[in-house]
Amino acid sequence: MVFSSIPFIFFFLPIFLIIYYVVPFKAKNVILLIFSLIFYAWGEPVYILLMVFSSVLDYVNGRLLEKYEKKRIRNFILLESVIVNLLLLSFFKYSDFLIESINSIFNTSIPLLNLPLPIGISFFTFQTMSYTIDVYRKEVPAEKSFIHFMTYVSMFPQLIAGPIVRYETVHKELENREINLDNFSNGLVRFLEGLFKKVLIANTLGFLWISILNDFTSFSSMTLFLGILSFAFQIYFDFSGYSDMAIGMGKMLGFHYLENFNYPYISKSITEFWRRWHISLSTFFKDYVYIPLGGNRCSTIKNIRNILIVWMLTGLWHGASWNFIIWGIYFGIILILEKFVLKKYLEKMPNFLRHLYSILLILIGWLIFAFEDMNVLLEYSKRLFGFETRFIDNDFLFFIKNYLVFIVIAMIFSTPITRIIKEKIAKARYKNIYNIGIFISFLFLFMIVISFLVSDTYNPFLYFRF
Amino acid sequence: MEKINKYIAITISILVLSFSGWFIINPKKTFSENEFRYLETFPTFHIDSFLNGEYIKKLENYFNDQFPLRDRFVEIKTEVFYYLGNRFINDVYIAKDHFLIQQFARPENSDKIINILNTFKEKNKDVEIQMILSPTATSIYQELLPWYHINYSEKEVIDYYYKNLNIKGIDIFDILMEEKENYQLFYRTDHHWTTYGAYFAYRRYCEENNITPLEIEDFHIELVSDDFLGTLYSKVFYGANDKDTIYSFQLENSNFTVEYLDKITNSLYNEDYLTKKDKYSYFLDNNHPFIKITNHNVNNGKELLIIKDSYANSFIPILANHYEKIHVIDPRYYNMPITDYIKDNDIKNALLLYNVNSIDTDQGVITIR
Repeated sequence: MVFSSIPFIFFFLPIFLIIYYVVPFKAKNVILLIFSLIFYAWGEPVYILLMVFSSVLDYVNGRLLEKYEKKRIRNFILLESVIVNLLLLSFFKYSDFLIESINSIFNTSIPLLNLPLPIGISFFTFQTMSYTIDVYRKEVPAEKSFIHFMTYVSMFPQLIAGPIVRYETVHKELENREINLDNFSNGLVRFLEGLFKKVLIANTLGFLWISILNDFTSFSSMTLFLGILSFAFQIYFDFSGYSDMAIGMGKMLGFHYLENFNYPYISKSITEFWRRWHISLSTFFKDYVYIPLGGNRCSTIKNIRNILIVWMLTGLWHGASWNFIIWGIYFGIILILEKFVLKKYLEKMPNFLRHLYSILLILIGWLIFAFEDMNVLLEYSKRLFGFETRFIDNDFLFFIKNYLVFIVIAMIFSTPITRIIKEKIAKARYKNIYNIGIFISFLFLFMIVISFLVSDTYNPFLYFRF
Repeated sequence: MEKINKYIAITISILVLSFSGWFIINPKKTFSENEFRYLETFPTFHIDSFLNGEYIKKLENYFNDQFPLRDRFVEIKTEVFYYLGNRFINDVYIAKDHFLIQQFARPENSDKIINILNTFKEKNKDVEIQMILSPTATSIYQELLPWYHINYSEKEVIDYYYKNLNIKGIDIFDILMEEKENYQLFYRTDHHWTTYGAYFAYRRYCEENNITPLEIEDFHIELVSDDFLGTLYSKVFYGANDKDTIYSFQLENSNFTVEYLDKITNSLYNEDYLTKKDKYSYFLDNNHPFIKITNHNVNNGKELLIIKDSYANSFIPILANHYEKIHVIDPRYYNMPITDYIKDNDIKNALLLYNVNSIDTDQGVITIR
């Protein structure tokens, strides 16, 4: 089930919330667990066993790590958890990719497995693995209650699209959390903001992107630029919208997840972009790969190696295809360059140029990200950069005319402008008028969201494949 | 800030619960007239369809299809897009004068279809075969299209067909361009031509075949419906206040026998459809695999086979005044070789009638043999 759908908003969520609020505190985790399992089974009736398996495994691992002090046993448990989780992830996500690569290199014809990717596997394996590592490092105590642990792993707000919530962030709240009207209403408003981002902006610009992509060989360069721009907005509003909905629902339940996005498109460098984009993933790789490899506290060569490893893995995590690996390495190289060469020049440049520099590199990144087929990528890029096609033509005016307002809205909401206005007005005298405006806007936008959901069968969810 | 969030949260919660309750008590519909399709009803549970995800997909469609005020909500979406400057929804342009005009995308199967038709002609060397490939409102009413639009040229495609077919093409483009000042030739909310559009195509056909056409004044012209909302309206859900009118062109005391595979009537029209949504089906009782029309007022021995899409439905009742017998085959529903039919019935003249927009994806034309 996706959050931005009629059955979720009008049935699953309200029924769950009513029961969740009515039952005594002790039963709340059980209710949350049951509904999370229903939520998962809704889309993946079979693979739910995988998630249960992963949870049982790391629950046991945690308990064992708590019991044994001997270094060798502890190392073994750690290794076993990492290997089993990664095998699980690799088998379902990467085996076909591996077979294809072997086939094309050695000219063999090993048949593909064609397994559908279990929803959320990239997220829950990372969560259970990070838990075992944290217990091993004694950063958190092992969870004693299996119900609590399973609730943590399967919690539906962040189950399918993140953010990657670390056990450390929520383990106290699993025991005891504040459930009140404040949290409920702040959470619901946050959920609605995410819903608006996903349904009104991401889906609409996603549609524009698909329209351009489907027939790109007949369009001019400017249209192809508009295409990649709308893809950039789609992916940001889709993903950050989902994170907003997850964080909002977490709050409604009394949990406080960490922020996952922080206006990434206003970055002045790529280094900054990756501090603002999918924060829970970057921190995961930083804490569990980069730093254990030695981070930057080693020779420059090793440091460069570490950065490249992390970014190759980051790329690979996003999908089982070469373009994602290239995409990761692309950013790895830029980060290395920024760190060792460009930093001092960038700092001297005017802000305007630094924004331009970042946005262009980010857009090129999305270009690599968008095409799994290298030939199509080359064909698109050639035309985008003005070869074999006109620079601008009627097609561009056509798309701009139909979507300009949505693009402008996407631009505005990619920056913290509205947040700044909100903070300024909170202190101003006419804040009541502003509040009434906000109130009416929310009702309006919610009705429009319903109209989009009811009429739009186009509601694809980009992050299912991760 | 916190306080306003409470107001929003409480109001939205009440709203959500009201809609959930409404959904539950709302009587479920099985058919949507506007969309012309069956709506999803509550699916029955099967373990197989549950495990392969089909059940859930159906259940989700059920929630969307049966949502209270669904049609109104779909309209709201179009309105939002419209007022934000979008004039292109579901491949349909919202044009000036409340016209809805479909997009004409670059055709992909022209050569394939030309080949099929040429082969068909080869097999029927002795038959005089002609073709009318009609333009649509997209090119005839081009000036009404919104400020910027992307369409392929219908005229170019028609010319390409006519140049490469070894079948004689009848060009109706110019006459429609001339007459559009005087009459409304295409519906505003539907992808078909109006009876006037069909009439001028008929005139050109007559010119090419040495038939003296009937003048407009010769007909008894009857307004049969003034609240027609056609297929393009269903696609965009916009312009419900601008309904189309349907006219029928009939001669006094005409006398037809119309044989369908499953029934025989004496009318080229079915008035039952005028009370339903798809009012264009009034002409020739919608699409049938095969129809044989006998005109008892004519004794000239002339027979014609028409192979067609739905554009022909409003054209045939006018042309039928000149032929003793007209055989109508719609290859979308007629599965036997047409060549056999031609041989068995000793057909000498045939007309292919299609519109240029949908011929490219027509499921019937590619089966002609």
